[in-house]
Amino acid sequence: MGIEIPNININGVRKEIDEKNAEMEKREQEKIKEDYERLSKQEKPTEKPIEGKPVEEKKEGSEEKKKPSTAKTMEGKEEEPKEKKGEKEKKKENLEKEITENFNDELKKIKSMPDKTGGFNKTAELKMKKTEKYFQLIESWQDLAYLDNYKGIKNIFSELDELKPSIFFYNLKKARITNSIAKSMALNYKEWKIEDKEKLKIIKNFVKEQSKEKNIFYSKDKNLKEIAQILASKNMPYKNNIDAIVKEIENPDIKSETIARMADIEKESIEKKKQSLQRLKEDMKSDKLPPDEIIIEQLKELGIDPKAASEIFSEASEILKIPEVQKKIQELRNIIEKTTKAEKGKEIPDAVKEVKDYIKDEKKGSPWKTGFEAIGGAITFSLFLFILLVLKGIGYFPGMAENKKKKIG
Amino acid sequence: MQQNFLNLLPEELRNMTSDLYDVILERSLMRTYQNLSEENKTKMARVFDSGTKEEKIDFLKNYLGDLQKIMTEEAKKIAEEIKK
Repeated sequence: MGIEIPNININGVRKEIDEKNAEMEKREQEKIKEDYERLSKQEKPTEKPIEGKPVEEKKEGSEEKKKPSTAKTMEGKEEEPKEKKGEKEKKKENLEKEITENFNDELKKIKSMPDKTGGFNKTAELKMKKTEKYFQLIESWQDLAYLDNYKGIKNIFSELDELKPSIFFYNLKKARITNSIAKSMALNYKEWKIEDKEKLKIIKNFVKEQSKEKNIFYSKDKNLKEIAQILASKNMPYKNNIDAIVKEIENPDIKSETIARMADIEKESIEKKKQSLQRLKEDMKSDKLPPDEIIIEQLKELGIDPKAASEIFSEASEILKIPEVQKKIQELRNIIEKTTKAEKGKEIPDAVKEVKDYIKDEKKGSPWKTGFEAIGGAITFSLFLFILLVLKGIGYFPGMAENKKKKIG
Repeated sequence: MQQNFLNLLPEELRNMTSDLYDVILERSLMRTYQNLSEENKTKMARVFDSGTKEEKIDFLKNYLGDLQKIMTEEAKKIAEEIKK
């Protein structure tokens, strides 16, 4: 098991081996996770019945449901023999230790991957591979990263900062992953076995640290709002808990929206809160960017140089800071509004409207996703890129590759 | 995916991107719809009004298969319109 790090050039064979290794690692990590989850479930104390709902209903399909002891637990909690409990705890501790060690081993392996060998292109290629490995590791680690209080994840972020990779849409990918980790911190809040004060401090620091980077795709305030919502859905108290997160929100609109949302969530039934959390988890699972190859192919189809596209993406923060750009945003907004208004005047058959809604509703989770969704995503990418280009005052979008310096907008 | 990607965009550009995408999708669907036979237009209305998930997916695959290509064309067109 493990990613063998070559000292020589990475060739096709190496790639194949890497892929196989990665697949094996993934399978193994999944197995560990499954074991861990199973063990955690066994270990968890029986939850109190909610709104008169029997506990059995909550554990639909679980083995515990069939056990006669469950009903007894509801009434007066059947104590497990101390020895057995201690044994389980020890087993769980060992497993947690093993999981963390496993991830740390992977981290060490990735760290040792070369990233400065050869010329400029080779170095860029190596950095790209290393970054992708780091991203993969974060994704497989994030649900269990509370086991080491997110130290490992933070370590990866430091490595990424040092690496300064230039990969396709790096800032977008990093923003997505940062947002996701922060939400995982809130989602795993109750499993995370340290004091609430400490947890909140870690969450706040993580979000603050990542927002220093000025990545336009990452909004600290929006992320904090999501965290507050998750904690509220997990029935954490607002006072002396969630308020510590809300206090960090700087944008007054987002802050007041968050506070209003807290009040709404508080009124929601436990079942509704659970459903919201479940939906969020599903969204997070399906929140995958299309593979680079599909985006690159689509950009080419649209006459956009993918390398230039990626560079424009990385410059997005700077572009939006240019004072004239702010003026242009309004101009462009007016043009787009005019276009959409004209479109709205057209008669659309109901069937077309329904198909449109169906395609836009991603929660349907259709197999269409693999093809169409990725193309739709790539088109959205391209549109955003086009807007940036217009704002920057250069246009080499569709069919304009030969006329890169033509001013538009 | 689009929705998740859009959520990451800065507010000021998100709506513009989303609106453009809507126009492209609608125009593309109109083009594919107009190419359908009357029989298939009726089928489309029925499937998307009361059909099963599988029927919807099948319809998209079997009758709107070139939608991706058309969307790319429409994206190019709209970019040209805006540049004017």
